[in-house]
Order: sequence, then C-alpha cells, then structure tokens
Amino acid sequence: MVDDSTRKTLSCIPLLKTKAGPREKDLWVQRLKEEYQALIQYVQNNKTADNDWFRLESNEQGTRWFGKCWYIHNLLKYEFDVEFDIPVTYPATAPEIALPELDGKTAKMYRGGKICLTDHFKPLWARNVPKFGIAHAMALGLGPWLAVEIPDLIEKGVIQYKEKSDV
Amino acid sequence: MTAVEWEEVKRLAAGFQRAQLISTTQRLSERNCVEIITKLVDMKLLNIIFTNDGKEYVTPNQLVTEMKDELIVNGGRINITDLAKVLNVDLNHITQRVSELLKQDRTIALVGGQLIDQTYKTHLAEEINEILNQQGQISVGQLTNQYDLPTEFLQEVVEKNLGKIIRAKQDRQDPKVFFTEAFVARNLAAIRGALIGTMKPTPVNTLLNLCGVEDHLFFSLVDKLMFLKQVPGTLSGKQISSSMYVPSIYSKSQSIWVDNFYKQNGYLEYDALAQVGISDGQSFVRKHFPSENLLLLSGAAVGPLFLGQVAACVEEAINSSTWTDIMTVLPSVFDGHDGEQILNEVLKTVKTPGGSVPSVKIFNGTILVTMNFLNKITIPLKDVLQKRAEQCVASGAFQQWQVDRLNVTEDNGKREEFKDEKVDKRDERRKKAAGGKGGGGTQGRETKTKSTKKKVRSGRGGADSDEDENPVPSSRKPSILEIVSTEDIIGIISQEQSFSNLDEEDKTPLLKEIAKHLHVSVNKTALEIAQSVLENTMSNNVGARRKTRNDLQEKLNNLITNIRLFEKGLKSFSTDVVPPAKESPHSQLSKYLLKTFCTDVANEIAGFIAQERMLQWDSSKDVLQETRQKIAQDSGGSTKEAILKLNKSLVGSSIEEFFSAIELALGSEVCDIVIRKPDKKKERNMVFGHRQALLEQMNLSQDPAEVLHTASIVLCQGVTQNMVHASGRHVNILLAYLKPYLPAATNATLQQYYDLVLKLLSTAESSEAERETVTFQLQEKMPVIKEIANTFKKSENKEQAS
Repeated sequence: MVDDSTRKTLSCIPLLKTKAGPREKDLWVQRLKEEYQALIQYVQNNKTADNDWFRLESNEQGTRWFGKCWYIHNLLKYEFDVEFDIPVTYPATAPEIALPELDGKTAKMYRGGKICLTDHFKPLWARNVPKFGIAHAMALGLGPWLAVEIPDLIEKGVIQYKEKSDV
Repeated sequence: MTAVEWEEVKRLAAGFQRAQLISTTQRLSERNCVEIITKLVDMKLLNIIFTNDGKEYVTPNQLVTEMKDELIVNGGRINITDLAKVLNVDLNHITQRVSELLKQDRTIALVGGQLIDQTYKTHLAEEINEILNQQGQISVGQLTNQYDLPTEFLQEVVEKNLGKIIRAKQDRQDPKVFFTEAFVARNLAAIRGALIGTMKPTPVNTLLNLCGVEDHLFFSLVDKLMFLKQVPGTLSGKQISSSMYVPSIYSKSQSIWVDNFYKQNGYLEYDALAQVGISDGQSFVRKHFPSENLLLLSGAAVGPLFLGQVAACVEEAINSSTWTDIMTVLPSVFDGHDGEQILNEVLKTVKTPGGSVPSVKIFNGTILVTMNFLNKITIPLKDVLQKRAEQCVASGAFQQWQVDRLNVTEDNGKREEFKDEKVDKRDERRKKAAGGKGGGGTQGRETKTKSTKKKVRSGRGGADSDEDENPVPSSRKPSILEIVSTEDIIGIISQEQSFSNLDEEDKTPLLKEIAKHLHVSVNKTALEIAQSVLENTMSNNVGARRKTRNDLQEKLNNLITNIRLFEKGLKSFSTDVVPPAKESPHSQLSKYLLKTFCTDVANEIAGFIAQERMLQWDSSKDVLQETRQKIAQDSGGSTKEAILKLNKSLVGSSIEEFFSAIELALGSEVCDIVIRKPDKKKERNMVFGHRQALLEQMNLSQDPAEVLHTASIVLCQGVTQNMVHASGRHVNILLAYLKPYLPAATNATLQQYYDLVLKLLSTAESSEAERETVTFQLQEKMPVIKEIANTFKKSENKEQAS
C-alpha cells in the first residue's frame, strides 16, 4: 500500500473538515482556508525535514493550481512544472496532477501529462473524503510517483539534467 | 463575511508562499552523513565501529567505556552476547574489546562468556554467606545451579572469601561443601543427643533419619564426638548402610548381664545371648571370656565352674559306686547331646580317689554308671542265672544249641568245645579290658565295645579269628542262645534301690540300656554256667552211668517180669469174641497191657537211648509215640530199627511180638541190658504182694467203682492164680469170667453192684435224688463186696493151705 515514510508524512498533514467544492461559494472559502492551512503545515514539515520538493500557487478562486516540483538524484536536482485543476466534484474526486513536461515520456502518465496514480490512491482518497485535501494529494500521489519514476527515467536517459539553477 | 474570508484566504495564500520561500534548513541528511563517514573510513581517517543497524558509530574507546558502564549497571556481571545486544554492536567487536578490557582492568574476569568484576564477586560471597547463615551448609554444586557459574570459579570465590566474608568452614572430606560453625554445632548436638539417647544398638540409617543429619557429615562428627569422648558407645562399620551404633550402656549392661548369668549359672546359653542382642554367641563368648576355659557346645558355652559342679556330681557317683544322670544336674537348656559332650569333658578330668581313671559306663549319652554299680546290680542276677542255666541244661536247650553249633561248623565236637572255651575266655578278657578302660572317653569306649562285639560274633560263629579271618555269613550262624533275656535283667535290676526314685519315663530307657549292656556279658556268664552245669551233669553221668544202667536194668527187669505175670494171667481169658464186644476179652486185655506197662518199658528204653546219645529229651514229659519216633530218627542205625520195631509192637495187640521187639532193643547192639530169667519163687512172691496191695487198696477205698474194680481183679487173681491187669472198663469181662467159679449169690451180688455202679456213672448228671439213692445203695453194699473179695481170698487161702 503506502510505504511507512509516506504514511508518516501523511499523518503530519492536518486533516480537513469542510466538504465543499468550488461551486459552493461560502463553504469553498472555508475549504480553501483549510487547504491552505494544510499545505502550509505540510510545507513547513518538509522544510524542517530538509525535504522540500515543490512550489505551488493558485489562482484567486483557488480552482487552478500550478508550480514546480523537483527530485534530487545522485546529487543532481531534476525540476519539473506541475499543474492541476480542482474538479467540480471536489473533494469527492481527487485532483488530477499533471507534469506536462514529461508528457509522452513515460507509460505511467495519461494524455496531457496527468500522472498515473497507484491503484491504492483512489480508494484511499475515497475513504478519506472530505478529510484529504491538496496537500494530501501531493504527498500521496505526486511524491511517490516522482520517487519511483524519475530515477527510472534518468536511467533510461529520457530526461537529462538541465544545468540550471532556480534559486 | 465572504470578503473577509477571501481576505483571509489571500493571507493564507501569501503565508503559504512565504512558507514555501523560507530557505530550507541546511542540514545534512542521514544519507549524506553516512556517505561522508563511509568516505572518511575509506580514507582511514577515522577508526570507528558501526552499530548493528549501521546508523550509529562508536569509537573503540567509547565501546570499552560503554562495556564497563554496562558491567557496572548490571551489577558486575554481564554476558558478552547480552552486551552485544545492549550496545547494538557486533559480537566480534565486543570480544575484541573484552581482551583489551581484561588487560586494562585486572579485577575483571571473563567467566564462561560472562564478564564479572570484583564487586560482583564480593556481592556473590556476601550472598553465599547469607545462604550459609540460613541453611547452615552449602555445596558448590548447589551454588553452581543457583548462579549458573562454573564450579571452579565459585570454588575459587568461596575459598578466597572464606574467613573474610564467608564465615564458614570447608568440609575436610569434601572440599566442595562448606558449612557454618553453627550448623556443625547444631548437627553435633543433634547427633550427640541421638547417640546418648540411644539405649540399644541402632543402625546409623535410623539415627540419621531421626536427627536429620546429613550422611556425609555424620561420620566426621561422630569421630569428633568420639575424640572428645562425648559419645558413650562405639560405631561399627564405616558405611551408612551397614554400620551400627552400639551404646556402651547397652554393651555394658549386656556384658554385665552375661557376666552375672555366667557367674550365677556357670554356663552361657546362646539363645539367652540372642535375647539380649548378641547374635553370634559363640564368638562373643570367646571374645568376652578369653581367659576362661569354656566348653563350647552347640547351644551354649559351659564354664569350668559349671563343669566342676557336674564333675563333683560325677565324682560323688563314682566314689559312692552308684550311678548318676547328669541331665538332672544340668539346667533344662541342655539337651541330651550337650549333656553327652559335657559328660565327656568332665570325665577327662574326673579321677577316682586313687587317682586312676574311673571305670564307668555311659548310657543314653548322659547317664553315668560306675562299673562297681554294674557289678553290684549283677549280684542278684547270679542266682537267677544259675537257675536259668540249670533249667536250660535240664531242658536240653543248651545241648541243642551246642549241637546246632556243631552242625554248623561241622567240626569235631571235642575240638569245638575246646575252642569254644578258648573263645569264651578271650571274650572274658576283652570284656574286662574294655570295662577297665571305659572311663577313658566315649570314643575309646565305643570302638572297644564295637570291636568286642564283632569278635564275639565271629567267636560265636565258631571260627577262631586267629585261624579264620573270613567270618561265616551271619545268616547261617546259629543265634546266640538266650538263657537270660533283657526283660529278665530289667526285672531284676529295677529292684535296685537307687532306681526307685526315678520316673517311669526315665527309668525304662535307662534300665533297657543297662540291661542291653549287661545282657551280653550276663548271657555269656549264663552260658558259662550252663556249660559248667552241663559238664557237671556229664561227668556225673559218666560216673553214674553204670549206676543208672543198673537202675534201668532193675526197673526193666521188674517191669518185664510183671508183664510176664500179667501175660500168664491173660492166658486164662478166652480168645473168643463175645457178641456185644468187638474183640475177645484176651485181646482187649493184652492191648491194655501193651498200652500201660509195655509202653513204660519202651519209654524207659527210649529215654535211656536219648540220654546215651545226648539227644534232647525231656524225661518229665509223657513220652509219646512221636517222641520215640523222633529219638529213633535222631539216633539212626540199628537203634533206629529197634525202636521203630518196638513202637510198632506197641500199636499191635500181641504180647509175643512185644517181647521179641524188647529182646532186640535190649540186645547188645542197642541197649545192652541183660534180662533175668523168670524166677518161680520170686514170681510167687510178686503175685502175693500184688494181691495184698490190691486188697489193701480195696479196703481203704470208698469209691464204689474202684472197690468193684479191685474186688473183681482180686477175685480173678484168686481164680486164675495169676496176676490180672485190667482197667475199670474191663470189669464186665472179669465178672463174666468169674461167673463159673463163684456161687450164684455172690455172682448176683456182684452183678447188682456192677449195675448200680453203671447206673451211678451213667446218671452222673441226671437228678440229684436218684444219684443219692444209688450212692446210698452202693455204700450200703460196699462192705458186702469187700467181704466177698476178702472171704474169697480166705477160702482160696484155705484151698491153698489144703
């Protein structure tokens, strides 16, 4: 299922309470607030653990999110753009995180660069509606995917290290 | 509201961005650290030890320190594997460091894969001491179990601390056992108590169970107590299972009892010893009285004191020439066998006043009889012997016996006799010798007796042992002639006064024994007496034979003369058969004559021959046809023929035949007796005498039948002028004969009287009254009959005179 470190990470992210999609104005705000609080907490956790691996920001309504994520392999940092929309049925439906850069480079990806999540992800998410939010989706979906796919892609030479320093 | 909330959302978004922008804390991740350290180790810049999970490192020094710390924390004892687990370091590193550690710190020891330091040892010693205090004793084996430490180590620890921390003593016999003084003292007290309290021999096992002392301690403690002289007793055996404790009070009382008993009784009975707990009486007695000269019997030991008592008794008997049964002196515990042994022992020491070995005889093993006494009691026997011997000789049994002996040996009679005498003398000598040595001891006596007996027997067999060593099989030997039976002897000796106070039960076997003993010699004496009696009679016979012969001749002459006279009288009777009688009066009367006087003659002749030939013959008894026949058979030759003929003639009815037989019998070949020629004058005298005698008999007699009988005979004699020999049965013949010679009246009177006599005899058992009348009539007429006889005589006399 989910490995220990992921679980540990997950448990450190505060759970959400409000069940509301973007369409429900008042409640969505409430939800968005909780989303942010969770994300902040998650990022802080990552920072303290020297495990910071993404940057995210959203539009004003908080329906579309975008940013960057990275993975360090053999002391080299591989960085990718990341984007996703909040589905209307959110939070019943999980957001579909996409890495457009890697579209067509790996089998574990839908068209448009949407990553193929593990079999466990969906039922786990379904069970935890509305407690899981974006932070959880990142930790549970994208994190493990990167850890599995990137070293493989690097091995295959599908992605090369780009000499660029973002900081 | 919403606006405010949106503001808040914005703030949060901004906060989120800020949070994301905060530089991540620059820290080396684990991975990096591991990499760095690996690099350093690779470069040999760093000497460290990895922990088992590889996440931690320790420097060797730190490891040693940690090991020490752990040791202290664990109370001074820790297993190396435990150490490896606790410190999370590979066991190899630990073992490497251990050797370093041991080098560094001398007080730490590695024992069986465990580190142990001084504090632990001290602690251990203290603990052991505590256990010791509680239990009193402890063995290293126990400690090994308890502490899971090797024996050697514990031993070392205990021994090192002995006397310092551990207040105890090491067992001398078993160095692995330690005990406290208090424990020893406790056990010592328990054992002492148990041993002192014991009153009878007790197996050590029981004692141990009672006082709860350990087996191995017991003996050392008892030794100690013995050394201190605190235990009244002795311990036998050195093994728990077999040893016994014998309290001295027990052995003391035992020996006191034994001493007392011995002092009082002079003997010790093993059964009694067994009752006071001495199982092996014999060896005990030997040990207990090494100086005493005890006689050890099967059931008891007899001391000299007691033997002295018996000896005194025996001496008294010897000196007073009586007898004694030592069983009466001995206590009931002794049986006959013991008595025998005691008596033998005593006889070894007993002396007569003269100092010689007493001549005694032992009967039934325990009854001592002096020879003097035996001699004394045989004195009254002598008369009986003499009587019996004479009887025996007289009856001819002795002679018969001698003849039997002769027949068996088929030897010359004289020589045999001579030999016999010799043997007898020798036996006598032997007897004397055996008797004299009788006091010398049972063995000697017995063998002597036996040998004597044997020789006597061979002597009896008639074979002199010097000449013939092969004895004739006993079955063919003639049995000894028993003149005096043992019963006779018993009968006589039982009259001896000293036996009178005996029970019948004791008396009978004793008398039997003595009688048996005496029987041989007494019988011998009896035989000797018989022999001498016989010799006497024999010599008398030889001297008086002639006289006897003359007597016989005289007697025979008389008889034969009588017979001749009677025969003459017979001739007067007719030989015709008178109808009612089957035979003629002549033959009837001659038969009667043959049966009476002639038989007497034959008997005299037979008796003479028997005496002459030394045949067994009892003159006192009536001589029958068979006896004569037997004598004839025994004598053989012409004698036999003569006697047989004589016998035959007696059965017949012819007097002439008898005379011819007599002539043969008296002939020179058989009896050699001369018969005188008939003398007329003498005959006349005899006839007269006979008649006078008859008359006298008749006159004196009151019996009617006899009167009639004699009267008729007298009348016949008167008529025939010859002697008539007839019995009462022949009266009617006589009367018939007389008829023609007598007057009718006289005849009638006689006939009447005869009828009355017949009536009396035939009515003997009928009525009393009739009998009385007949008797009366007879009595009445008796003088008449007598008168007839007397007057006839007178008339005849007158006739004779004229």
